[in-house]
Order: sequence, then C-alpha cells, then structure tokens
Amino acid sequence: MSDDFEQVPFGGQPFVDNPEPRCPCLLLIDVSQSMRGRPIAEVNAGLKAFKADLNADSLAAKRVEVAMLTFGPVRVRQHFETADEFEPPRLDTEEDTPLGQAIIDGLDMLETRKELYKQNGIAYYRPWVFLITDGSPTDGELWKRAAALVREGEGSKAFSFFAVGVQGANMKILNAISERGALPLEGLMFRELFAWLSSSLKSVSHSRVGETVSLAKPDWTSV
Amino acid sequence: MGEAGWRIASARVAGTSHVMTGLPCQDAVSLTCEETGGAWFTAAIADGAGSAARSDRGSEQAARAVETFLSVQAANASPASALGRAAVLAAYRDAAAEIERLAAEEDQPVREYACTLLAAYVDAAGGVFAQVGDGAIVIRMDGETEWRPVFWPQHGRYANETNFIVGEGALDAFEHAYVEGRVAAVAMFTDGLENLVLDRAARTAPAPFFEHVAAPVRRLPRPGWDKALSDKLAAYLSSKDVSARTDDDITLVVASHGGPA
Repeated sequence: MSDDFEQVPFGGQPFVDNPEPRCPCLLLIDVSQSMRGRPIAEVNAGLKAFKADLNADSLAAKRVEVAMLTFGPVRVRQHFETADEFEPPRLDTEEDTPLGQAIIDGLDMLETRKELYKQNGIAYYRPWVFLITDGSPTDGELWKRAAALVREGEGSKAFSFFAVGVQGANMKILNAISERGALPLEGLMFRELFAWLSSSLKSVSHSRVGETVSLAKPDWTSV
Repeated sequence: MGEAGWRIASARVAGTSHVMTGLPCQDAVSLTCEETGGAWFTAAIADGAGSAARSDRGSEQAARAVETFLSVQAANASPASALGRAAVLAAYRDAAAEIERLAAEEDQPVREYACTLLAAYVDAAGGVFAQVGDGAIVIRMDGETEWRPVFWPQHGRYANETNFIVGEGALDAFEHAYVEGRVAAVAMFTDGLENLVLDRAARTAPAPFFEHVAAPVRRLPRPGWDKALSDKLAAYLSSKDVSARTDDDITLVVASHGGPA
C-alpha cells in the first residue's frame, strides 16, 4: 500500500450513468388568425428567451423536456426534447382555434412520453401542460372532452395544467377546462410569462424528495 | 491485516443546492461499533424532506432513536436474528412518536420534521435491516463479489416523492429483512447518492463504487469508527467528482469486516 494511497484513499468517478430525471413541459399554443402581428411576434420572442433561460441552468437544460403543439390546425412543432436540444420554431399565424383537439392530442403525446420514461427506468417529475390561447374553440364540443381529460389528469396528479388567456380569449371556457382557474395574460407579456415558466421549471427540476415546490407569483397576470 | 471486526467510516455533506439556499444539511447519521473488537455494529441514517422546515431536527431525532434501540439490543447480547419485523417496526413507531412530541413541544406541524429512516444491525451471524423512504442499504456477503441493495429505494410516482416516517399511513411503507450469513460489507446512503451508484434501469448496485469506498475501510488497522478516514470520505463526497453529479445532501456509511475471519 503506497503512502499516496493512504493520503487519498477515495477519488475518481466509479459511478453509474443513470439518465437524469426528466421534467416534461408541454406547450399548446394558439396560432389562429387573431394572434397575427404583435401577439405572435411576442410569443416567438418569449420562446427564444425561454430556451435561453433554461439553458443557463445546466441541470434544467438536461432535465426539462419541452414539446410544443400549435393550433390550428393542430400541428406537432416539437416532440419532447431536453431543453439543450430544443430549437423554438418561428411561429406564424394560421387559421382557426381547434383548442379541444390540441389538448386531446397533446395529452396523448404526454402519455406516450411517460410510458417511454417508465420503460427505460427514467425518473420524472410531475409534467406541466401550458395552454395559451386568445380565442374560443372552433372545434365544436371537443373542448368538453378535453376538459374532462384535464380534470381527470389533475385529479390523479398525472400533470399540472395551466390555461393562459390572451385578451379576447373565452375565459369562461378556459375556466371550465382548467381546474386551477384560467390566468388572463396582462397585455402581451409573453416574455414575462415564459420567464416565469422557465424559472418555475428550474425550481421543479432542482426539487428534492419531499419538497413542495413553491413557485414565484406570476407577474404576467392580474389574478 | 490487524484484528478481526467491523471497521466503519461515515460522512455527511451538505449539497451545493443547500449551501446556495442557506438550508441546513437535512441528513443525519447515528452509529455504534462494538467497543472491544468490532463484533457488531448498528447504524441509522435519515434524510429530512426538502421543504420541511425542521426536518434536520426530525432526521437527527429519528436516526438517534432507532439506532439507540438497536445498539442497546446488541449491547445486551440480543442477536440481530432476534429482531423480527414487529420489534423493529415498534422502534420506528417510537422514533415517529418522539418526532411528534418534538413537534408538539415546538408547536409545529409534524410534517415539518418529515424524514426517511434506514437502519441496520449486523453481527457475525447475519444482519437485520429496515427502511422507510428512499436511499439504500447495499451489502456484500462474505465470499461473494456482488453487492446488492437489501431494499430498493422507495420512490413515489415522481422523482421528488417518497415515504417518510411521520404523516398519515407513514409506516405502511416500512420494510424489514433479516439476512442470514456472514455479511462482509455494508454501505448505507441517502438519496443524494442514489443516481450515482445504483443502476435504476437494471435495479442493481454495480460493484465498482462500493468496492472503491469499502477497500480503504477494510484496510483500516483496527476495528471501530475511524475519524481520519471519515474525514477523507467527506472530502471525497464534497469534491468535484461527486458534486458535479448531485446537488443534494449526501450521507454515506461504509462498514467493512476486516482482519482474519
């Protein structure tokens, strides 16, 4: 036994390479006609800042997974990717507001992702779903089915669902969808919204066992 | 190689996230090694819930209470094999009751003291182990090379959920096992180390890390707890090698039987 060994008995990295626990975040973003102009420009700027914020935190960059659906029509713009791989696409306004279908498809995507985590023994945090809209659903009564799914998911703690209403949004329907109550966006404070979202996700992705994550009070809503 | 008997090193380090937020280290450790020749040892570790304000006190109390129970049994020559599920569960209940008393004294809700609790009593014939919550007790039997977790860490559905010894239905999660035979080495640790040393997909405890920390302990010249080596273990757990991979508190107890069998 060498003296050196006596002095430094422990060292090195004889560790297991487990995947980082994941913190999935699903964005459902309204790109209907009415979002044209400044609103969509602010959303795009907010998304860019969102990516930058998450990546400024090395743990969040590896743990937070972002997926994005836009509507309408409903399109998957980003499958779940860790924040360091997330490339926010430039969003343009399109047509209508199939909000119900977007929620249904989004939750389905989330379910598939969770299955994948389970199959691979990857630990994960309670997922977040973030809906942003400025209108009323244009896909008939589908939103009711979506609302039932959200209720069920919130009830079983399968995810946390946040609905954000931009000016012009049908808050009554949003409130019916979101158990915790829809949050009206102040003006066009999308950047503040995404800054809050990234900082909240950072807190969640750093949270330890038994920790109730306390979120900062949102500064982008009047509620 | 020196006389036979258990050698122990232990370390407790505050995670970088706790250092940054100013929270105390919420892990606690309590251990006893038989004085005359290290014929047996008892140990308990506890990890306070991250958001529970006084969980550092809760974990201290819990670890001490259960470990004291075990060491008194051992000192009274009651073998590990005599400690069945009911006896150890009763000791856990007592530890939880002490925390409830502490909470009442300080006029705080008991959840503020929530913590996990892992305990071990190992003698020449075998070992009795118990667990509520996450973290793990990993053992190697004499003559074997494989290390195995006695229980798998208890995690809830989500990464930041587990079971604690206080709260409604808390002790429903209580696990107990008696392992018969000569135990050669034991590592006990809180969840801060889990991701680095347990293979989550395969649910195994790959030997390299455990051999790495057990070897210097085994080579200690004398049985008993060694301060100098414990300090070095703490330095290692605080080093970049480890802190780059976890920002949580870590408690690690490494016990190895040494000397002629």
